[in-house]
Amino acid sequence: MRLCRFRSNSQVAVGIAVGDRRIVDVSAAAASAGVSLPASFSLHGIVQAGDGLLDELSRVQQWALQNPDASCVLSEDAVELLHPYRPRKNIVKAGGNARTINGIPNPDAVALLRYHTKAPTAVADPGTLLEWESRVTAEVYAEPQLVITIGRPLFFATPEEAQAAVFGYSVGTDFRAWDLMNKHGQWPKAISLDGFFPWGPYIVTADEVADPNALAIDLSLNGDRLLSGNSADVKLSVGEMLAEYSRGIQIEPGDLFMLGTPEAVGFGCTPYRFCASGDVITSSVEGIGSVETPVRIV
Amino acid sequence: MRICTFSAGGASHLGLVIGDHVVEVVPAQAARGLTPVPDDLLSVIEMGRDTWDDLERLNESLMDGGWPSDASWVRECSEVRFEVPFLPPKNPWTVGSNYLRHLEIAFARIPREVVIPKAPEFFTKALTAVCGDGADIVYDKRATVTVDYENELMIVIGVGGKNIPKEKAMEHIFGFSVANDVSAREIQMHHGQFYRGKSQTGFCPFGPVVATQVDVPDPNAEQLRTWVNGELRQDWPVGDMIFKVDEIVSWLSQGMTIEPGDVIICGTAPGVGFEFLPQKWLQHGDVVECEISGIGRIRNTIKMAGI
Repeated sequence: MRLCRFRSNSQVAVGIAVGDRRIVDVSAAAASAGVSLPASFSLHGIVQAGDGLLDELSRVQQWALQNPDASCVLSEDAVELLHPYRPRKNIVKAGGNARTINGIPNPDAVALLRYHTKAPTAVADPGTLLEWESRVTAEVYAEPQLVITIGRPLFFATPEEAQAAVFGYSVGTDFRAWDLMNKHGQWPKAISLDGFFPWGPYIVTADEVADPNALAIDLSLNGDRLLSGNSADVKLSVGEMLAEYSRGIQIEPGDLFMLGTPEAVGFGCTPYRFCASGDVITSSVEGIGSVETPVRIV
Repeated sequence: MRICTFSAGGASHLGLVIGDHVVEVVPAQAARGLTPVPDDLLSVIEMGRDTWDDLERLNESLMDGGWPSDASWVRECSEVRFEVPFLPPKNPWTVGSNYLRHLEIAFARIPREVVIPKAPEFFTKALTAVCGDGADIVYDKRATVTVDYENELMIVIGVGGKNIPKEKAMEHIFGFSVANDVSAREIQMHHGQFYRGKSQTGFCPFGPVVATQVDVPDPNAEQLRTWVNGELRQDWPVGDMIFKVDEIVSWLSQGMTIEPGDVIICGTAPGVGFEFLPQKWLQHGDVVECEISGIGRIRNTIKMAGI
């Protein structure tokens, strides 16, 4: 299933993709589909429930496929697609996980990842204009990321257990300020500026992603493909990375991780290229979707 | 005022610490006919200054007038358990390398030339690391055997904002607490970024209270002291920071919105276990006490998982 959150007539609702560029409003369709949902119903709650609500959602989806003309089945173009949710904690980036950087072997060959985090205030809707002040940073670049959403708790897990705890996958853009990474030494502030994490709109449930460790992950700047990566190009696969992270740190339902590949400072350009006003950055993950972000420096 | 979250009889409540007593806020307000406030500290912080003033009025009435001897909403501190004051709305922020002498000793151990940071070295700790006074800090030897303490001043943000100038920074602060930025040194060093080594479960105890600015008008004037099994290890002026409290808040908010309930831990002073020769790592059964004068003292016991 492809799950999303959207706004229609100033109401925010949870949707499931049905067919080509159409979504069903889950709450509005539930009664007709004969499905009862929890009172407080959100996409964050669905993820935190693990697979607890997937049967109900699947029945809503089936009903919508059979009733494509129902008023609760909407065109994607008629709604505003939002980011899936604001997580309870910072989003974890598995930094240093890329095996190659711009086609060159990662000089940091040891498999100890540079985990660092992005504040939840950085989340932004797909397509939203991202603005920052030039006095705060002059060196913003971006990396396309496979975003992993967690459905079950993990602690000292095996890679197999960790892989099985993934709720779903989505695409996000990790905006990063190179000058702030250098100025602050540690990196989280540099990746946590407001709007620095557009993600979504869809979370694709894990059952629909045959092999999360073999997905093309690309980034385009103003239509030119600057980065072409693959989730196979990592030191630690999705399950291995989560298992390694869980050694001493609890992973909880609703947590978000970025896999960490491809990795490229300054969009991989020599000399480094940094964002300019008017640029449009598009991150794509094969089979998941894409997220587009226009930027403006003020 | 000195605000806590305590548990007695199985339930957690918002409390005010008055001398050796803890006053349960909600029934005390009812008894005094004062405006009720929510029974949890994060909600109080998020509701803003009017609610803080309501709580302050209760605090003043208790400080001035005491309470009836049969008041069921007053307990002695020794009768209650101090819980973590609240869970912040995101990962705790932390500042590294903020005391020059600590830096000099630490760099000598690596060894590397001292580099004085030009901006606060911000990193975060996992929210799951947060715990309270009295909680056990349980490390797992499969992950780390180099557990160390770092006593630090914690800033609790009360008013959100972005691009806050240094001169206005204190207006955004709700209060201060004491945090132990417990660190797994080998993980911290090997992973480059500090986050993972400082985020093991239980590695961020803080409390026992959040003291508001009325009680702690100038945290720079306070003294930071740490004991391990009663042995004094850290004894340093809080104000010896490279980046002071107002500068930290201002720096963090540049380009990034900070929110009510956000916490920032300000870095540690000389005297951590890493600095000794040989290095003194925390072991199963060790008791670590972190105190900042004017705020309070947290006491945590180190446990190794599986024992």
